[in-house]
Amino acid sequence: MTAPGASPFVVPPRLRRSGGRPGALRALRERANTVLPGLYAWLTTVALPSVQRGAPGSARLSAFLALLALVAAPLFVHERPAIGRALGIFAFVGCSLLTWVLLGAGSVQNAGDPLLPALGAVAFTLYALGWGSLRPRDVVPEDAPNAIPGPPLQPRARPHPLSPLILGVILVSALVPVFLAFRVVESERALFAHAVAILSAILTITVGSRVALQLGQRRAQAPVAERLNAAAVPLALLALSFGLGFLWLVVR
Amino acid sequence: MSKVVDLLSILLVLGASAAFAVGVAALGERRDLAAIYWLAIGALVLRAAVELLRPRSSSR
Repeated sequence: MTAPGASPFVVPPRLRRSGGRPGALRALRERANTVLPGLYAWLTTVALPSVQRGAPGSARLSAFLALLALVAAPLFVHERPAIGRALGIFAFVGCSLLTWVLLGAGSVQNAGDPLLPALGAVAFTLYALGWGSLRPRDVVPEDAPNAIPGPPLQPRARPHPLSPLILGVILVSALVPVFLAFRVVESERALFAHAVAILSAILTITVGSRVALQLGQRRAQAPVAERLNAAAVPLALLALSFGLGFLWLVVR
Repeated sequence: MSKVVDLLSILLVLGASAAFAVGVAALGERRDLAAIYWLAIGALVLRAAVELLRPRSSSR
């Protein structure tokens, strides 16, 4: 992700698909990776609570303004990127926050169906990722005027064929605590559970990605004996913890 | 032998995420001691996986 208004990829005018201003439909289609998750997130977490009976009119108005900002942002991305980002990030998220504040905690929390807000949170994450700068399909980074010329750098090693699969399994397993945290009912406890789940997911993904990428990279790894010796202390502590846990189960 | 250690480190990472999941589930069931226990187990398992992957003493 980059700062609003800034993009790491400088696209020369000659490499752009067309010099003209894109139409509204085309702009929406090009930003579909942002608009669709944003629309889903708005629908599940902003629109549904604000159309409930008893919701204040101001909350409905701010929800509508959030939708307007979401749809209008892609129209400005090409011509006025700063305005596009201001609408898409600050106006949309700000109006959504304002809607939640105006609705109050009782209306926003959907205790009957915790899955929907969870999916909305995932959609908001995808929406945030969509606002990162991606390389356009027809732009070659080496053709940019600020690219350093020279022969392309070759990778020192190729990843193991199983690395993507292992990384995928680790990613899915790391997300399990995040989804389990939505099952916690009490608000204070739920907040702590979410914090713990996100921290554990970050740690698991960080370590898991290293494990998956280091697979089969013999040159980068220490000798097996050294690796086992280094892991001996945490493994011994682990065995001790399991022993204490078993003892606790027996004594209780 | 190296492959076995690689497999062990993958299993440790998966075990860590399972321990974290059990810890969060225990938190939801108001079993605070069990939650702390499983979260600590998860941290230890993850630490073991890191050490297996790249020992601190190694200069590579």
